[in-house]
Amino acid sequence: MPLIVQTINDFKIPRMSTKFLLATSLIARIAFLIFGIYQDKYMKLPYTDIDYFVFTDASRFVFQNESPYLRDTYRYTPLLAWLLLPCNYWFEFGYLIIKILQFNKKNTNLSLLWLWNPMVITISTRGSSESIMTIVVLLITYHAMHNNIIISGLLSGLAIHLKIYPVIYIPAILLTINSTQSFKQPITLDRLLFIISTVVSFGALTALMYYYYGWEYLNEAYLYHLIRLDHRHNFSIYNIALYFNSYTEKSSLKFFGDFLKLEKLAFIPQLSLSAVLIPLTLANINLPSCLFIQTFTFITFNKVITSQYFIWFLCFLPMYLSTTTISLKKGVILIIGWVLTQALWLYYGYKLEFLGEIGIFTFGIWSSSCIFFIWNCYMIGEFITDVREQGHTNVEVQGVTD
Amino acid sequence: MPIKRRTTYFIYPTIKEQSNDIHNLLNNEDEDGEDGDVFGRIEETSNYLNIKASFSKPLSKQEKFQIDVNELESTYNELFKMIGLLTIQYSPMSHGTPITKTIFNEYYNLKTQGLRINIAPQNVNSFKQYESVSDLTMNLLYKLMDIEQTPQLGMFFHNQWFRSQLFEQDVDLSILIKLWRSLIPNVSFPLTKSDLKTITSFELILNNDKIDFITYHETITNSNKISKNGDIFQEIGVFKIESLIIDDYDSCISGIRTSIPSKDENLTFIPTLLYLNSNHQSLNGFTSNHELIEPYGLHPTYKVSINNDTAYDYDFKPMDECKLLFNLDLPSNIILDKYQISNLVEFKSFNISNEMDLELPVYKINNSGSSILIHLNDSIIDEFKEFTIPLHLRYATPMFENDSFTSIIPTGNLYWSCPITSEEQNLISNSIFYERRLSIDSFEDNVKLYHIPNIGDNYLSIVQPTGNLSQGELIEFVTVICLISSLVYLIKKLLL
Repeated sequence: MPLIVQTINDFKIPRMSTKFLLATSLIARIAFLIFGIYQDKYMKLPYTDIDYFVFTDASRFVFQNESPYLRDTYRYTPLLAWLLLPCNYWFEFGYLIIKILQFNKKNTNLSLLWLWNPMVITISTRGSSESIMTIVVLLITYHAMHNNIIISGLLSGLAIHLKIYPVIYIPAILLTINSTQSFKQPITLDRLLFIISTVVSFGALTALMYYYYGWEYLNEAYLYHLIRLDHRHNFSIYNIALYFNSYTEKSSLKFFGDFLKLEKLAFIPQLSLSAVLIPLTLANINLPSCLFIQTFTFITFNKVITSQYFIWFLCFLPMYLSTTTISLKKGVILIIGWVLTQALWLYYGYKLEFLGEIGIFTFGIWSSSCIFFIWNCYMIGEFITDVREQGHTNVEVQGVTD
Repeated sequence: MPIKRRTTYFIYPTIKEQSNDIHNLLNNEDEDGEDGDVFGRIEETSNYLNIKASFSKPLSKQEKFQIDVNELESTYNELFKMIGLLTIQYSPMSHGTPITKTIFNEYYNLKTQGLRINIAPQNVNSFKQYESVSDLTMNLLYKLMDIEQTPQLGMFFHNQWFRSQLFEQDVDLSILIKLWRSLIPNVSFPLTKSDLKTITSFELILNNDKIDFITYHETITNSNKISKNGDIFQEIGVFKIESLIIDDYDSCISGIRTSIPSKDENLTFIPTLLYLNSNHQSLNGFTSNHELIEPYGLHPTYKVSINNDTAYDYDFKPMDECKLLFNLDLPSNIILDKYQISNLVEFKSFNISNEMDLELPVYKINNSGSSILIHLNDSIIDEFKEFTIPLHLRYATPMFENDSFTSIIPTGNLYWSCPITSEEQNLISNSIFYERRLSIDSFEDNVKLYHIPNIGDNYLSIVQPTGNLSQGELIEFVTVICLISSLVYLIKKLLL
């Protein structure tokens, strides 16, 4: 299974058994969960994510045979509210579902980057739904690599139904199916099967939800994301510009004119890189690494970035690292830079959110998001070089073997 | 013009009197002379009546002008007849109002900082009409008061009527004169400039066919001269308050009253006993402090602490039927998250009027604000002595040359709501100070509210960081440069 990292070249850590890793990560999650309950009760800053309350409130409406969209700010597929129905009997059950789903994968030493990762543990035990997404995405990867075309298609439909962003994986997976197929004749039976199974799965789930909840579902789960107002501070480089534009309703830059807006153009760099150029260049070298870079790029160029989104690419990290050619020293520098630039933004974010400090929107929040963005782009560049290096090596090895 | 004017003066005890046993003062003259006495404050000449006041011996005054709706400017009287119930209240921001020092207990327990309009049309056939007439009237009133319409002035359904609130500081007492001149253009505004200087609050109360303009003058330090030949029928009363603390919820004050113009050369003063009981009383021995827990960032917590002065042995014991309630009005830049509040165990129940979107920034909200009424657990009074309400700030409007935005929250009302008998309600309703306002107890029959007064400011300020639009061009330009250069860098990495 490609999700299993078999060797660790740079780390001299004794190989740990799967049971040990699972047991320790389970203990870590239980400990975080218990601490979270304590923190919620006794500390000013709550541990449980606000979204968890949104999900459980929405599932309460479903439990009462009502629409989950009666819960303000619930803008997901009703499937998530359905999954949390048992919470109406036992509140903490939702956490367990998420954890059980997380554990439904094998691992070796590098998987501790996921299993022991405090950020991952925190986000999943805070009640975020992102962990559900990642397990579906990992299953897609697994089945795509094992040429289980229909299953990976069905799972892709589910993933896109849950959240729209996995749609960027479709081109990469398509390119790996019948990878030797000429660009001039791109249509093959397998590729068609993958697309059909994706469409069937997505269409069936969406139709089912539409059957139950009608236009309200389409509006809240999909259309809202096209017109949403991204004005609240977040890691994205777009954030402050969009906050200003949401008020003035036009761009601050004269050359954009009255109609052209930054938010309307934002998808161009984002999708051209993450959904087109990166898959075209990297998918057939190393699919998991390609998906990792695609996700990393998609988030970096997104109009909204919160910490929870990092889970989307962190789930690919163990697989990426298992094949990387980046040296340990350089890897450490990249990670330290990422953590520091993120911490800088968090420092200003805390000052704004919890201390209400004045005058830090521009030289504080925005400037640190620029630094974070630039560092992320530098990392993406390094990742691309790394995977392309792997491609050259593979060709050379293949050449030597031939 | 059939306008009735009633001017009521209240003499407070002198500092010396306060130090004496108040019960001994009932029939005794002030040791300093007669100024502490009702008659000592009145000077009558052939042309005017002088009510004496000074810095050391101030007075309080209430002016009430009652007009029949039929006498209003014809454009408005049909509309006002259709409305039937309307209350406009205005009070400026004030610091640390000493609640026990005022005789205007009923009004002071109900007032809000800023302007508040409540409308409950009585002669309409449907809710749609109820809403459209309210909307029409609200717009008309803002126009008459010469207040520019802004999105913040929208109305909302509060309890069973429509409400609009304005907390901005740029509204002042001139709105009273503008209202008068628009509604009653044939009669010049009757208050003098010196009267206007002493107004602390005013109300306009429409109750079916009568409109009352009421002004409250908390502290008057200059003598008031009243012409005996005025063209409006005027009743004047002067009453002595024996104690700053009125510790009986069912008490009377004594004084005299007279009316002008009079047929006699000398005015006739009639000794009068005023019944003070009302639907709103301050709960003796209890006060509250209202504050925001610092630092509040973008998520303020409104905290109410209750102080019980155990030195007083008051006889108020809440009955089982009494409910401890807290009412808080909030401007549109503050979010009440009903889902979060529903998890608070110290609240038995709550109701939010005019629920608003939980995410949008303030400049995308077309509302005047919201209001929450909370039924608290009794243990808050007996045991915890405090409670908190979590609030959230909407993103503020980005501004040029400014990095912050200040908003105002009028402090809330904390009170026991207790049932009373019909007989007791009849007594209260027959008091000359009784007004049928649209307020927190409207449409609730036979209840008496014991307020736990706030001893601090009547408003709380929230300073909120906001984006500076003057930097917008720089931000967007650098953002675009970063995006383009990164895109080029990554394409180069991918393709070359």
